[in-house]
Amino acid sequence: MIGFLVLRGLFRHRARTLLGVAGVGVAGALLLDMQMLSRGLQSSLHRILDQLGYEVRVTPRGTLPFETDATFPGGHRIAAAIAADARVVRVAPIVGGTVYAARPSGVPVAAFVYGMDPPSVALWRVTEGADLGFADSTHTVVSRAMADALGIAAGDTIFVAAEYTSQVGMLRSPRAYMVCGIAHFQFDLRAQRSLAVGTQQAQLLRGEAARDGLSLIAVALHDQGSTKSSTGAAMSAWIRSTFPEVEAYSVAEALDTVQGQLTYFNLFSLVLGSVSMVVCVLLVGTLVALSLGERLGELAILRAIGLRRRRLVSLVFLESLSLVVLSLPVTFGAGLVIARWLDAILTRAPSIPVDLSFFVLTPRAVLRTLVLLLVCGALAGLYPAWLVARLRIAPTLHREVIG
Amino acid sequence: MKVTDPIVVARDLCKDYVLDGHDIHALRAVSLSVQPGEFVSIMGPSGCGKSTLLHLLGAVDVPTSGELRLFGRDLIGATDAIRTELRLRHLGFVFQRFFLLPMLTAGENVALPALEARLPKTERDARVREVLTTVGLAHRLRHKPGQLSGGEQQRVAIARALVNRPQLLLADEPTGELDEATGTQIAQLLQSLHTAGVAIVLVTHNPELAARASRRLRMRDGHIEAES
Repeated sequence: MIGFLVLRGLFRHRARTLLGVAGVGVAGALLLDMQMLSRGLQSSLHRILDQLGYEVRVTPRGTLPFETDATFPGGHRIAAAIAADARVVRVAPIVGGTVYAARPSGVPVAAFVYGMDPPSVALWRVTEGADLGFADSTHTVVSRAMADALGIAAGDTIFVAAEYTSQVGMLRSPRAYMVCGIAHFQFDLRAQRSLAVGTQQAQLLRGEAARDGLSLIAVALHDQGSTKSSTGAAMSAWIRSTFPEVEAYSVAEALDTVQGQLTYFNLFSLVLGSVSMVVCVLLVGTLVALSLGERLGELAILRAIGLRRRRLVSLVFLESLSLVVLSLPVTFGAGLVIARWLDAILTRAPSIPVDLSFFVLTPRAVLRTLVLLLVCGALAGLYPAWLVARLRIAPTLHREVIG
Repeated sequence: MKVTDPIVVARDLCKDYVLDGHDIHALRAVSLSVQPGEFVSIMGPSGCGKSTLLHLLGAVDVPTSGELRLFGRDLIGATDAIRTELRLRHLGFVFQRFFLLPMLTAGENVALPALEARLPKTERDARVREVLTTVGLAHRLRHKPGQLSGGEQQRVAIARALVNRPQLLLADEPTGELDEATGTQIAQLLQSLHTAGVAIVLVTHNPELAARASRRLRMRDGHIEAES
């Protein structure tokens, strides 16, 4: 009966209901977006890291992967020791850092070099031409931004060096590579110029060959289902204790570290999410209270003809919740559109990896939004429900008749 | 409670309240009893306490002092749940303003008390048809209040009051907002309900309507001045 009365009541004031639904929908959309934002970067990073298939990353002490140009010495020795562990499937030694590249007699441009031997790590995906071969010493794969900056295509030759003398406009001790393909680099920032060569070539370019310097060792573990993350944590702890000169992160540990650096986004989403909840509560509460004020006579009559007090309290609560439930399509529709729009704006920032998203729709974000909106509906119904609970029948009827 | 016992027994009922800082003595030691099937009318000038008395008898308000028993149950100190249950099962209310829910059809308005009383759907539907037939509006079952005349709306309100088969019908100026001809129809309807055995307490300004009652009370300044 109550549901029936609520629906008829909402339908009775269609324009008001539609406005309320729109208002709550917009506030709910903001709440959804803030839920998507609060863990969005972390989820997005998690997805990218998972795609690579490596559970542990070994970096120079005190750094995150490719956070700086720092390397650690004796990289292949450490990689071999890690590879000998029974839990490990394979390891991928990687060198990264800043270099300069130029066409023959062209102006050099700064670029980031990834030194690794395919197919061990899929940090890039070839979109045109061919990939590097294993221990390839003559070819390179470049990013689209790099190809555009130098005006090169597959088949062209470029010169790469770690240093560039700007006074004479020349690369110091350059090495020549033929471009075999254009690739999409997953961790590249927008418009970042990148190229990939074999591990040994990158060490030679960056002067790391003698000390066998590496920027990163990616470690893949045996698939152990749900225990993989704990195995990763155990493996990284073992690496840290065995090789004090390096840092080791499981995916979960890396995400936790990143999360610590994303406090700004968490606070931002907390504040805006809270504001949207307050708006939602005030909006629903005001609408229901206003509607109640117009219907006090009706409610008094319902009490007079025998409807129980708790029935009317439920009626008001359900009205609040119904406004929230009816607004859910607007909440999710508008929320996703706004999130996509904001994501497009934010990921245009130059220091953001291309594949990273700020707003990620996860089951957790959906569930939290639903729960929080229902809580808003319930909170909004408190005051009107209190008004109904203390409604005095006789004076209200008297007022209605005189009025 | 025996079948012949009064359904309403009120002794020395007083009702005081404060309005705009002034003490108002709405009822002063009113005593009254109503027998099963009796038709009692209450007349008197505006503000004499007629509606206040009706509200007390209808368990929608509580007296300041005095004794009040409805259907053998002491209402002084009764919980809200008990009073609500009494209203639902034993009392029917008709008001000057019809107070029908505008978003519901006539049938749905009438069905509300039966729904609250948890009557099975088949019985509920049968009762709704029965009482709407009694008030001559079976053909208006699916019409909303806005599609009905004032007299028809009042008849729907009477049907709503009757759907749970109350033993006592309380009517507060039921013809107050109706034209004379329609008021006469409502008066005839109340008369026929009385004939059918429903006890009625009627508050009215209309002497012709009051004259249909088997017992007529006149109130003034919060007390019963005369009875005939």
